[in-house]
This record gives sequence, C-alpha cells and structure tokens, in this order.
Amino acid sequence: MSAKGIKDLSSLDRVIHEPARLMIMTILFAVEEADFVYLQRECGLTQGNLSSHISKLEEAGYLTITKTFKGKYPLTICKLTRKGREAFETYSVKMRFVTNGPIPSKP
Amino acid sequence: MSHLTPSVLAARQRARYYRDASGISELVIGAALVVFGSQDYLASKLAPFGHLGRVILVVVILILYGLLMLGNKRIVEWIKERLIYPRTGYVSTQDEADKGETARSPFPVILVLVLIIGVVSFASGYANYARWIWSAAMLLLFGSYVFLSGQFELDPRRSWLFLIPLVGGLAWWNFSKPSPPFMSLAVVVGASLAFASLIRLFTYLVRNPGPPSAAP
Repeated sequence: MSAKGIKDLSSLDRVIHEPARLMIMTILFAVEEADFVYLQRECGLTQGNLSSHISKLEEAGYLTITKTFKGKYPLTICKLTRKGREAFETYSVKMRFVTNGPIPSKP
Repeated sequence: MSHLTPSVLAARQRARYYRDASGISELVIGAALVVFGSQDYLASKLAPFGHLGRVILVVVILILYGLLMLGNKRIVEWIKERLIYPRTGYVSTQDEADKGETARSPFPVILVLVLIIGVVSFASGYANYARWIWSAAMLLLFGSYVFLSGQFELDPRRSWLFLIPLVGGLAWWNFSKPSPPFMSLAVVVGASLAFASLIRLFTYLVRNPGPPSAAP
C-alpha cells in the first residue's frame, strides 16, 4: 500500500468533504444546472441549511448562483464552475483510493 | 470518463427521469397525433362549407399540428414553468447540452415511423392484411421505444400505462365493423399516449402538491 496515497487523504478538499456539500457537488456535477428547489428536494436539506452550504461553495468559487425567472416563476439556479468541476474530479480520484483498494485477507 | 462515479451516474439518471416523470412531453405528442389522425373526421364535418371548409381545415390542422410538433419544446417548457418547477424545481441535464449525446426527442421515433410505414406500404401487396401489418408495426415500434426508454427510468411500470390502451385501441381499429378510417390509427396511438401521460401527470401532481417544506 502506497504511503503517498495515504498521505494524499490529508489534503482532501474540506469544502467538498462535508456530507451536505458533497451531495450538492455530486448532483451539480451530474447535470448542466439545477435550481434551489431541485437541490433541496434531492438532498433532503432544509432551506436554511442548503442556503448555507451553497454560499460556502460559492465563496470557494466552485459554483455560481444566478437569480432569474422562468415565466413568472423566480428561480435560483446553481451551476458548477470549471474550478468546481476540476475540484470534484480531484476529490473523486482521491476518494477512489479509499474505496476501491484491495480488501486485505484475514490473518 | 473516470470521474463518472456510481453516485454521479445515479444523480444523472434521476435528473433524466425527473425531466420526463410528469409525462407532459408525451402528452403534447399524443395530442399532436390525435389532431393529425382527425383530419378525415374534421374534413367530413367541414365538407358542407365547400372551399371555405377546406381552407379552414388546412389552416386549423397546420396551426395545431405545427404548434404541437414543431413547437413541442416551447409548449412543454411553458407548462412546466407553471406546474412542475414551482413544485419540484428545475434541472437541465447535460445530455441536452453535450454534443456527443442525443437528447430524448420524438423526432427520431417519428422518422422511424415514417420509414416503417413506407416500407410496409411498398412491400404489402395484400390489402386485406394491411391493418394487421400496420398494427404489428405500431406495436413493434412503440414497444421497442418504451423498452429502450425504460432503460433510463426508475419505474418501468409506467410503460404499461401506454401499451395496454394501445393494444386495446389497435384491437378496436382492426376488428370494428365497419372499419374505422386508416388515419384513425394515429388517433389510437395518440390517445393511448395522452391517456398514459395524463395518469402520470395526475400521479405527479398528487405526490407533489407544493414545493418542499422549510423543515425536514
């Protein structure tokens, strides 16, 4: 087992490495863009909780928030930035080391 | 693509399912097919008006059919803005933006339908069996479409909502005496699609009466 791989875990992105924000990043990585209501429904978070985590991701430059209208319906649309997509890919690669490694045999 | 983890793939699949879960797209297509197949009936009702009746028929059919088929996306979006987005939110899937993937569209199905009809018409020299051949072609076409679209769905049961009325409608179209007009086949298919879509839309509205609550 590589010591370097283990040490890489210490540099996991703490902005992404939080359950609620990881859910948000996973969903937004899978789609082009999504609004606040869709994220709230998919993540099962309260409005306040979701708003707080989205703000943190926006501060980190991982997503953009656009307030617009679809017809008369106001939308708060979230979309990952290029930096956010690259950060998620890097995070996924590091986590794969944790989850996809060989299972050690019993002594 | 190494970053498409199982969780990302699951999120993408859910977004694709959500895009079509309300059945609004299929409802509009079904309405278009009903309009298309009702030409003979409308023509017979407008026949007493002579030339004016023919003009009215052409204008009505062109406007309705054009709106429903060519303007399908705009109409569906207009309905979703009022019924769907306020309840369950808005999402745009990447296959609508990616160049390499084909977004789910009715036009490939329509194209295949036209090709099948052309081949069957050319090959069939047996007028007595024409309805059977066309019915089999419809079942094959839409059965395969439902099966293929079921690969992306979380609930394959909704496929039966369409196939059961379709089979019933085709049975009526084949065995009714006197035989219904040939164009009414489009009405059978369209009505089956619209029926299944209305049930899906009703189910969706019952399950999602409003936006998510503030508290968990």
